[in-house]
Amino acid sequence: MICGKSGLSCSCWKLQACVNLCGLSGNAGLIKMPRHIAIVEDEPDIAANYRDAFQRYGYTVSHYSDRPSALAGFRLALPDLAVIDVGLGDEVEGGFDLCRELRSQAPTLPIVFLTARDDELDVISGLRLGADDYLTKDISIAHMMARVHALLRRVDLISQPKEKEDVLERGELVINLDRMSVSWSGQMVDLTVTEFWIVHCLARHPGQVRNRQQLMDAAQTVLDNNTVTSHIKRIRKKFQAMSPDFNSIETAYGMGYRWSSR
Amino acid sequence: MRLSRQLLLVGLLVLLLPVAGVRWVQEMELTFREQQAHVLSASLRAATASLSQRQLLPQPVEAKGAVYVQPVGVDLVMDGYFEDWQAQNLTSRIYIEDGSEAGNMNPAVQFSAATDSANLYLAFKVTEDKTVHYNPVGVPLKNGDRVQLFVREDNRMERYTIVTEAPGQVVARTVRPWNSINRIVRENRIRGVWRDIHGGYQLELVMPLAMAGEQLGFTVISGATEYWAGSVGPGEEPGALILPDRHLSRTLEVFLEDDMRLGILDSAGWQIASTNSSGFTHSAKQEEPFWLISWFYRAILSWNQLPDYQNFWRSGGWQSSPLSSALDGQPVTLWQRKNDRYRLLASWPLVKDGNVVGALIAEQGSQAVMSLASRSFNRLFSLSFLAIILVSAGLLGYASWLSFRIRKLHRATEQCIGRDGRLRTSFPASKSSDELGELSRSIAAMVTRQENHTEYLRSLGSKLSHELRTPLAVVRSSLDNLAHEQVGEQGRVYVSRALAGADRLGGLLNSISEATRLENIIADSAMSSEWERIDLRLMLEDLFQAYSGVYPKTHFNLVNSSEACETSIQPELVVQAMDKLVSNAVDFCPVDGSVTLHLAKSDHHIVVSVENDGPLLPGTMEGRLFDSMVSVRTTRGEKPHLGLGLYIVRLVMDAHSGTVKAENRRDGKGVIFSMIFEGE
Repeated sequence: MICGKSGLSCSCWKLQACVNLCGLSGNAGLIKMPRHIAIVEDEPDIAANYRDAFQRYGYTVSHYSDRPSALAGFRLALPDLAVIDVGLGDEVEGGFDLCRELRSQAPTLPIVFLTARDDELDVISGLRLGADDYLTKDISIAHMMARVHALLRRVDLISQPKEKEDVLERGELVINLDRMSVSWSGQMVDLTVTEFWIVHCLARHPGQVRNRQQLMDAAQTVLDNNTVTSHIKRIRKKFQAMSPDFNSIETAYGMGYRWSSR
Repeated sequence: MRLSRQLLLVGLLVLLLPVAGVRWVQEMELTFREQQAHVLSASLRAATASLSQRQLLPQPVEAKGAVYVQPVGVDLVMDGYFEDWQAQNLTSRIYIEDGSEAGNMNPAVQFSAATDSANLYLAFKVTEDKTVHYNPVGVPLKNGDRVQLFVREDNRMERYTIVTEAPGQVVARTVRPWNSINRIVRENRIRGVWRDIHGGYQLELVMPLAMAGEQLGFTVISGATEYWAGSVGPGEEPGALILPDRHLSRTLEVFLEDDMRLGILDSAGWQIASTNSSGFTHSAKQEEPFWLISWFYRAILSWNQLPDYQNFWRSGGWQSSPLSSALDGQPVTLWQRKNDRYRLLASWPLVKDGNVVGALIAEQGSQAVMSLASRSFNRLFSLSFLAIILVSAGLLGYASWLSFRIRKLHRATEQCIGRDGRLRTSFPASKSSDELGELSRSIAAMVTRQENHTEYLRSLGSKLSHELRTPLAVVRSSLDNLAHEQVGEQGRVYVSRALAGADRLGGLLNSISEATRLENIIADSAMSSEWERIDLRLMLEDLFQAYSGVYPKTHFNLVNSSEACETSIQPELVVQAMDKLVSNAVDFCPVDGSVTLHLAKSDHHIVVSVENDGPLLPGTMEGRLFDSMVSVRTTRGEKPHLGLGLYIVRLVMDAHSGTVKAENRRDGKGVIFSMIFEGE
C-alpha cells in the first residue's frame, strides 16, 4: 500500500489526521481487494491525472467520459466510489442526472462531485441529489485523496461495526471519528465529509475560536470565506432540523466560529 | 416649456372663436345701422314729399341779419335776470361787430330771443369796459349806452331806442316828428328791465309778437365809445325775424316714429319747426346687460370712431351742423354718440320750384341696434366662454394626461436601471397603441437587451473563472503527479514555483467569482430568515479585538457608541463588509498611522465607519469607488487585487437597504468609509 507519508504538505494537525487515516485504510486495505473508483470526466487530461493519482494510491480506476458510457459501465459493475464531473460533454448537468441514477442503483455508494462550477446553487443541488461531497477542480490531489479515503472508510465502518470506537462527546453531540458520523441527541446528522471535518474541528476544543483558514485546513480544501460561511450555514440548518433551538455553533465576529462550551 | 403649457398655448387658438364672433357682431351692427339710416332717409323723403304736397314748405330767407326766435312754453319774468331763460333751455348768440379793431373796445352782446306765440322776449347781456347811463340833457336818445330796435310796422321802419338814466324798469322810446318837431315818444308796448352788472349790463325786453312783424333788427351802442354791435349795422335793412312755425311743428308730429325727433330748417339753417322733445325718450327702458359684457361690446363696437353728439335742437341754429349740407341739396345721414347711445341724425332737403328752401331733419335713437348687439353679444359671450372653458379644460386634461404618461415613462426609465447599470425592476411596457406606447415598448425592449448584455458582462467573470478552472485543474493535478515522479533538485524548484503560480491563479479565480457568489448568497439569504437583531456596539467590540489580533502591526482605535445600537442585520454579511473595509484601511494606513472604528447612532441612522490615516481618495474616482473591478491602488501588492472589496461592501449595504459612503477626513490626512444603516 502506498500510503500518505507522501508529500502531503499541510499543517501539523492535518498531518496527524492524515496519518490516522492512512493507518485505518491500511488496516482495511490489507484484507480487501483494491478499491474500484469510477471517474466520470469529459476532460481527458484531468481524468488521466486523477487516474494516475488514484492508481498511485492503489485504487483501480475506470474512466468514463460521458453519461451513457458511465451508466453502461455501472450496470456491469458498481464502483466503490464515483467521482463525477457535473458538466459532461454536451450535457451541462449530465453529472447531476448520473448521480441521480447512480444513487437509485446504489443508495450507499459514495459519490463525489468534482467540478469547475462552484455556484452555491450547484453545490446545494448536488448535495441534495445525495452526493457525499462537492469539490471544485482546483483542489489539490492530496486533498482529494484524503476525502476519498475518508469516504471509503466511512462506508466500510458503517457496514462493519467495531467494538471500540474513537468517539468524541460534547453534550448532545457525539462524533464518531471512525465512522465519520455525527449524532445529536442520539439521532444521526447527515453531514458531508467537509461538514464533518468542520464540525469536528469546532467541537474538538469547545470555546476556542476557529478562523476560516483553520476550518478550511481542517476540511482539507481551498475555499473562500463565503464558502466557509455557507458551509457553516448548512451545518447549522442540519442541526436545527433536528433540534430547532440548536445554537452551539457561535459566530465570533471577525474571527471565526466556535463551539459553544455550554 | 412644459408640455401642458405648450398645449395650453395652442389652446389659446380657441380665442379666435370669440374674435370671429366679435367680427360678426360688428358686421351685423354696421348692417343694421346702415339699414336704419336707410329707413330713416326713406321716411324723411316721404315726409318731404308730403309737406311739399300740402304746401307747407317754408319761405326762403335771407341769412344776413336774421334774428332767430326760439319757442318758449311759458311767460318769462321781466326782472333783468336770465335764470328763467336758462331754465327754459333758451340759448343765446353772441354779436360782435366784425371788422372793428380791439375786441374790448366795443360792446359784446349775448342775445336771445324767444316767443310764446303772443309776446316776443328779447334778452341782451352787454359786456363793455365802462357803463354810461343816458343823460337826458344830452343829445336826445343819442348818448349813453343804448339799444336800438328796428321794427317794420305798417310798412314803415320804426326805430326804438332803449336807454335808461338808471337801472330799473325801462320803456322803449322813439323819436316821432310831430308838427315838424322831433319829439321823444314812449312806446309802452316795448318794456323791460335794465340791470347793471359787473362789466356791463343786462337788458330784458318784452313786446307783442304782432308788433315785431316779419323783420327785426337790433343795435347795441356803447355810450362811452359809440361803437356798436348787433344784427343790423347803421343804414342797413334789418334781417328777417325767424319765428317758430307751430303749425308746421304739429304737422311734423304725424311723421314721428318711436324715439324720434323731427325738425325743419329754413334756408338759413335756422330751425323753424320741431316736434316736442317730450315723446323723445333719451332714457331707455332697455335692460342693461351684465356690466362686463356691456363694457366689452362698447369696447369692440365701432363706437369710438363716431363723433360726439352735438345738440343743435336747443340753440336752433344748425348752420355749423353737418346736417346743414342738406341746405345745399345733399341729403345727409350720420351717426353720433351720445353718452352711451347711438343717435342717428338725418336731413333731407326741402325743394320748392327747384330751389332748396330748407331741410327736414330727424334724430333717432338706436335702441334696436343696441339691444340686438347686446343680445347677440350675450349669446356670443356665453357660448364662446363655454367653448373656451370646454376646450381649455379638454386640452389641459389631455396635456396633463399626456405629460403624466411621459412622466411615468420618465420615472420608469429612471428607476428601472440602477446606478450600477443593473435592471432594478422590470420596465413596465405600455399597451397603448399610440406613439408613447411605442416609445415605452421600444424602451422596454432596449432595457431588456441592455439587461441581457449587462447580465452577460456580469457573468463573464464567473464564467471565465469556471472555464479557467478546468485547465488550471489540469495544470495542478499534473504538477501534483509530477511531485511523485523522479525529478531533479532543480526540477522540484520549478514544480514548486509552478504550484505557487497555480495557487495564485486559483486565488484569482476565487476572487473573481466571489462577488457573484456573494450576490447569490445575498439573494438567497434575503428570502430566508438570516436576519438577527444584533447590538452593533457589542459586535464592534468583538471586531475590534479580532482585527487587533489579525493585524498586529496596525494600531486600532475604537470609538464606540454610548448607547445600545440594536438593529436587524445579517451579521455574517456585515462582518464580511467590515472585513473588506478594515483590510483596505490597513493596506492604506502608513506604519505610524492608526485605524479607527466608529459607531454612532442618531435618530434615523446608525453609522459604522472605518477611518484610517493615509492617502486621500482620488477625486476622479468619486462615485465609482464602490463599483466592481475598480481599484485605486497604484502599487502592486503581494496579493492580487481586483477591486472587489468595496463592491462587496456595497452589495451588503444594498441588501440592508443602507448606504455606503467614502469621504476624505476633514483634516486631509485620512479617509473615512461609512456604512449607514437606516434606523427602524
